[in-house]
Amino acid sequence: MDKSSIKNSLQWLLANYFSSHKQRFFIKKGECLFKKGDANDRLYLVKSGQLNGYVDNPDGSHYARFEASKNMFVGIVSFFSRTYIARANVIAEEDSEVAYITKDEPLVKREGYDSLFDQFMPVVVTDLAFRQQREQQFFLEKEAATKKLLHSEKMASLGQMAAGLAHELNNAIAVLERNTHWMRENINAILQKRYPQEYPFFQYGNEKGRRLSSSEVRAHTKEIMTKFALAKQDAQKLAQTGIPADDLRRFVDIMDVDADIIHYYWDIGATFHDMMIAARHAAHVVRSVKALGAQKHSRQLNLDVNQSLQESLALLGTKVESVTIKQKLAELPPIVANIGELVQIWTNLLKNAIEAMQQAHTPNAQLKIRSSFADGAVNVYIEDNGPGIPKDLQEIIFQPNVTTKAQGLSFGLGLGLSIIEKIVDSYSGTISVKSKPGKTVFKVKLPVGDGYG
Amino acid sequence: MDKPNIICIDDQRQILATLQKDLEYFDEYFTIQTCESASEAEDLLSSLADENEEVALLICDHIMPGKNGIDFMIDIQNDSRFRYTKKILLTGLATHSDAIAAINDANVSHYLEKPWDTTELLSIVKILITQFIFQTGLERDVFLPILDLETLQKMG
Repeated sequence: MDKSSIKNSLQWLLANYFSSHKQRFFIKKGECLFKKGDANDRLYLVKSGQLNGYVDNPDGSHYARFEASKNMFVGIVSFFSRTYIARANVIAEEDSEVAYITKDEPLVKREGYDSLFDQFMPVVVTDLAFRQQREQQFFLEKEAATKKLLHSEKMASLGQMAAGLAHELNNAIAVLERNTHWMRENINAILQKRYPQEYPFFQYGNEKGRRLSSSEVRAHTKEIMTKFALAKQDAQKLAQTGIPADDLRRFVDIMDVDADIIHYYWDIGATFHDMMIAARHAAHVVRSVKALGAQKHSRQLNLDVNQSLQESLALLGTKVESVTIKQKLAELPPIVANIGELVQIWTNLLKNAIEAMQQAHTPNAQLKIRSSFADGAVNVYIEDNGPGIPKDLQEIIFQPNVTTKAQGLSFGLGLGLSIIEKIVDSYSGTISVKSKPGKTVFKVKLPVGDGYG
Repeated sequence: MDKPNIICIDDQRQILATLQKDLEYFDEYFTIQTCESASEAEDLLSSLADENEEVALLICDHIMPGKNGIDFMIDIQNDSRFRYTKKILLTGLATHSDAIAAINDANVSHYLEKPWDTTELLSIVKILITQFIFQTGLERDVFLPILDLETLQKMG
């Protein structure tokens, strides 16, 4: 039976069974039509308004099992099961009018429908199906709500734990970071004054760090072995410094210094470089974790988003050296923001992009950073030409515990983007991603406050 | 004869530099090499094998981009050219099943967690290279200053 014939059946029923003025009355909002367990030998039709059927849950709460609005039936189960005992508490949700028939209702003849049951069946089954659908939806909603609640409870306790951990670690990291810095400055000053000959090697290591990869060191070793006629071990030491062969020649020829000495002073410098990177990284990890349980940071007026982008690039330091960076920054109105939070957003997105390209060994790895102002909002686009994010991952990428990162030190807790989303959200902004192989763009939209829009 | 090699594999350059400093003690008798990925280590190993150089020890991280440390060491385990090569798994993050695979399939000699203790690392390396020297039948006397005497006595 199709929809229109169900409609016809309903119209026929309305006209033939529910049009009498005698079997019809009003019920006020909040009034009870019947209670569960009451005797009820009537089938009601809602003429106007709405009635809900409630059942009690075992835990004492109750929920609407069905909602009957205009042209829907109430009392279906008790009437058609012929128990004539009400199955739910039916209450008027608003001022309503109902019509009814009783179990002894005289049959109105209709061609092809011999009994009352035949006549009502299609319409009533449709009503019941509707109720079932509603119940299912209710169940799904409830399940989703429970999941969400569990998740936010989990995040809250994780945040609390993280904040405690971060606090403890912060002191230790601060001591390491500050004192590394202090030592570095002092060793630098002492060497410069007392060991002017060796100082350039320290300085080179201190400024550039370990700039050659292990395979580059091997290639450089071979070059030095032939150019300088040195033993492998000495050549390897010189190669590790990353000092170009021609510069090395100058030192070796003029000053007759040996490889061990050069390497030794260079290594002191490079080690300070490593320690600073590691301390900064540790501080960054702690900051990220802390942001999980964070309260709102103080925000300053007139913050330049472009400047926060530059700070992020500076913070990433040598990490960005492996990719080509192209910037196209528009003139932007100032926004009300916390620079730390913005830097955190950009740093995280940039770092993700760089690491994805490194992991995939993307040739000609490129990062494009764009900013624009449109429709009262500042937009920042961070684009890479890496491998792209698989479709199924794109959908869940802002959820916590989603990570593609394998390396131990790159902190693959999968919290980065969920934290960022939280921050962006606190600015009433949005973050979105579009990705295909060779082109992934993250867009962050931050509305400019009232005073400027 | 060329000095036997000790190869460190870790995707973090700073970790490699730290390991290299720690292993300086063996510098006179072994060539310490570093690799930033498993595939780089595979290339290095095969070029060393081509030149008939010995590989005494691998010190390998587990979680790296590309092939992970345990899979790499399982492959090495199945390569007869490196049957005496000792292996240390040095990692900050490995699951229970990783550890099982490391022991059962990769025949890892030792498992060290990051951050490691230098004294512990050195004593383990000493024991392992002593075993290596003994098993390969290399001239023991040459290496005597850096060998672990207790291990040597045990092996007879």
